[in-house]
Amino acid sequence: MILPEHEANRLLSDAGIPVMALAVATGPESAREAAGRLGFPVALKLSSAKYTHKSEIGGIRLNLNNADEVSGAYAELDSLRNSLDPEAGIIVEAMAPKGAELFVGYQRHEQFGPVVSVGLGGVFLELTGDVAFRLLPAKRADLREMLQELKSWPKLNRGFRSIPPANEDHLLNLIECVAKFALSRKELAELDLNPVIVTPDGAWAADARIVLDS
Amino acid sequence: MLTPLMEWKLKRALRARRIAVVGASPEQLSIGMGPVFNLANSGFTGDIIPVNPKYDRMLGLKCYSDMESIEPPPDLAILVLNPRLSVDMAERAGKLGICAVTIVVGGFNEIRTDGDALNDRLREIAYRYEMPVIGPNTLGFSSVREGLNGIFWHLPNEPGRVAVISQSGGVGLSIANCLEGLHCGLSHFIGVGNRTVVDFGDYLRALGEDSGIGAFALFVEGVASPRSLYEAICEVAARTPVVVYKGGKSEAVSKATVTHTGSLAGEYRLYRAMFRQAGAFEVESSQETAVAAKALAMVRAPRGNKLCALTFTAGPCIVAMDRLVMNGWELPDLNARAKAKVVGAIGEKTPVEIQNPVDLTGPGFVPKVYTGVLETVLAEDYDAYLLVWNCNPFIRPPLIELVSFIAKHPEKSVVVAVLGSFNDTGPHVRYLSSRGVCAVTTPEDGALALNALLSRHRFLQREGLR
Repeated sequence: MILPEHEANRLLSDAGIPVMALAVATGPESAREAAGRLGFPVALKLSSAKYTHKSEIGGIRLNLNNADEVSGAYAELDSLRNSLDPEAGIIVEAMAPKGAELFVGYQRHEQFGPVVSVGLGGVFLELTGDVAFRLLPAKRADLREMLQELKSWPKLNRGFRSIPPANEDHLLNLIECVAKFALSRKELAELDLNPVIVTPDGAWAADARIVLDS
Repeated sequence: MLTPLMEWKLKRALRARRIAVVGASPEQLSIGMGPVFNLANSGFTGDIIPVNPKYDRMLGLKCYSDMESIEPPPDLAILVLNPRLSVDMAERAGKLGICAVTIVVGGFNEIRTDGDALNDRLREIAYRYEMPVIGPNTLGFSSVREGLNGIFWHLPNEPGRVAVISQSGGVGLSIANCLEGLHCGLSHFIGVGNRTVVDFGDYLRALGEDSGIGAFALFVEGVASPRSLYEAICEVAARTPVVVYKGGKSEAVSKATVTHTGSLAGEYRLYRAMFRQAGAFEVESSQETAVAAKALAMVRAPRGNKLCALTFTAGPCIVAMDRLVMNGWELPDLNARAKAKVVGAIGEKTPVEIQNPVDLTGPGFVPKVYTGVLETVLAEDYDAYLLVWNCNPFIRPPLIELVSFIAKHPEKSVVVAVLGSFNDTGPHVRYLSSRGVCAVTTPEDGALALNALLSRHRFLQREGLR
């Protein structure tokens, strides 16, 4: 069973994993109100258990700077929802700060047992295949080695072009939290955090996909 | 999972003193000849007991008609029989209280349609009698230091400190042959076969506390439970270095194309991560397996990553340095005092500026010059050394000096690359190996040996073991 994003977000947040604050909008007014509360700019997303690759169905509106933009985006996502998945929710989420985009994953592998992974995130994950793995439980030194196996990590760590340097400790803290969470939840089959935004000051999961045993 | 009693029996079988070969044959081209011949030919001082109702004697040994008439029963029965008979005989061995059986023949679950049922029966027998079954589908095993050469094929059987545990008999032998080429002896050779009862992890645990083993060399194709292999490597690697050569990687390529991220792994990438996490050093060929295992078995891991290289031909050092620096070795320059001493050792003919790697050029092949410079650099603050010597059959390599100077610095990790034809390098490598100096025969192998050692240092550091 795939959890809708807002439910995944709450589970992670309860487990102490840094996530972007979000609210479920029940209508255009509620979306504007949530955006005001979270602070502009915000993102609106379609939170569907059926379509987990949101960007591919056009289910994301980023960098909405005022109430009018929120209303416009809400209307668009609402009509997308009606055509694709009437069960889906529309969520308003604080925009992540500018930072490196990584991927953090977990899977309970039939043969290898619990496995954590990290990689170059966003849409490039599948293009570059720059991803590394460790079996859980793992020590922090193991997780650091995993990170250092990534081709892209040294550059992201130093700061690449206009992206500020991605802090290693913040990212490792987040991975440790994910590992602890995953090992404590027997029903968790799979977890994808993509992207995880990493800056000099922190690391936050900006999108989450959780698969539970049904 | 073996029971504690099975673990104990496996250890005992690996040091068996009374070995029955059931299905033994005096025919030279019969597999049944193999174990009998090898045991008789390897200085085994225990009892070799051929069993075959068709013969009274074989290779000068008394031949028994059945296992039941052997008194007292053997510690190990090597079964060289067809699958169905092997399983029947395993049951009889279990009843007799024999510690373990080896089943040589293949044709269980890997090919036969009724193989699964046969396998299930074999497993049931093994656990009913708590009797480890080695194989099926294996060359068997040899405990070389005990003179127990129990496999059915020819194996280089110089005793030494490397334990080869292989999922493929052929690749295992290829590794053993490469080790022989490096004059590096074996402690054990184990073909794990189908691993129906005894798996990689069980062999590792059975041998994990053997202080006579300096390194494990594993060839792994794929296992049903990589997690338990991981746990076993974790257990032994703290004490004994483990080298892994993984076959069957390409399946990973197709699996890696699955879209969602959880399945991005592909099996091989998980194996690779797992080996690294467990502290095993992964290699890419039989020769690399042999080189890494030899280095890890012979040389103490360095305490850091400062390397000094000595040569009189630049090229070999350059290709080695490419590999070494990429892996994290550093080449700090010699200090002024050491440089002056090096110049002093070379004399007035000092050709090029002295740096690290120290390239002696022309004067370097004069043994007195080479060893003079070696003595100087060994006293400097480096963790490890790569010493390159190019063979010329008409020039004496300074082997005696090398051995004695290196012996004065037991805390340093030294690898010697003796370059030359197989015929020229062989005696030198043998001499150095027999005196505890790790020698290889190409610059690339020299780099690999040092990279394996640095990886060991990093692992020990990561685990808080140093």
